[in-house]
Amino acid sequence: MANRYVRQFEFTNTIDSPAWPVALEKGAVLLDTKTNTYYLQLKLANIGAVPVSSVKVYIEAFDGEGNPAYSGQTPGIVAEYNVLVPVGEAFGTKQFLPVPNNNAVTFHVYIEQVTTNTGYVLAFPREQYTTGGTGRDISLERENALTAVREMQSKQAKTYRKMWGAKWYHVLFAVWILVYLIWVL
Amino acid sequence: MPVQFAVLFLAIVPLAFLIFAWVSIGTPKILKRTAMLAVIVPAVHLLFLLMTGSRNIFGFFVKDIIVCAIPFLCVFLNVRRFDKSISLKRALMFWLPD
Repeated sequence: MANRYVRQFEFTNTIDSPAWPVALEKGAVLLDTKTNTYYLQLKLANIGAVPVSSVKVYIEAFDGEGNPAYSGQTPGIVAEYNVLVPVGEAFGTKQFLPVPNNNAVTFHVYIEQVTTNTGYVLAFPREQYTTGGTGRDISLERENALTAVREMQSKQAKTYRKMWGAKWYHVLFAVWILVYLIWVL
Repeated sequence: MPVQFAVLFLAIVPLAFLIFAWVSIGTPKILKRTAMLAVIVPAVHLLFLLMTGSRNIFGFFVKDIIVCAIPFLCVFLNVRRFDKSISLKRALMFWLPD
């Protein structure tokens, strides 16, 4: 099974938007050696502040001359990822998107819609995007998001302990029981 | 014997509530249980003293309120340091759901 899909080449996104809570970390074109068909595999990353439950992606592929790589590409390839993704996690690698050939060299991957785990829907119009690639290190941003969320959870846990489980509560109750016994007996 | 029983009863009720609250340290139940201590114990004592026709009802009741309210106030004020939305009135209403 592992040898069935052969990686043809890897790519990163050539468009960017700083507003995305989800971004393409990297992508790959795979060849299914059994059926001799090509697939796109996207590794998306949740770099936002909240878990996401659904992501809609729109992909445009171009050949070396800047022409659409897949005949009948308009509109481009649409993909939807319905999976709950915690902050700082990568997803999408298990979902293969069939493509007709291996002519594409550059990809525009638009994150069109993101639904958070609370049901909030964020839409990103394509006009917001900048082309040319900014050289963002998405894996680093993913790690930073993960670190931030862990720090926040650790802070919340510390506050919870101080609120409900302060050690001096034990002293308070022990002393108070003693006081009460002395008072009554 | 009835006097010993009365003393035992008056002592056991707050002790039971104190232990009940103590075992819930580490969870939000502690506020609810200390509120129960602050409300139920004086109420039960008052009822008991009225039924037995005790003389110093008011003094005992005031003392009871002070003694039972202190653990509750300590917990409440500590919780309020972190969560300003909690009010004293709401915290005392232990019968309401969270």
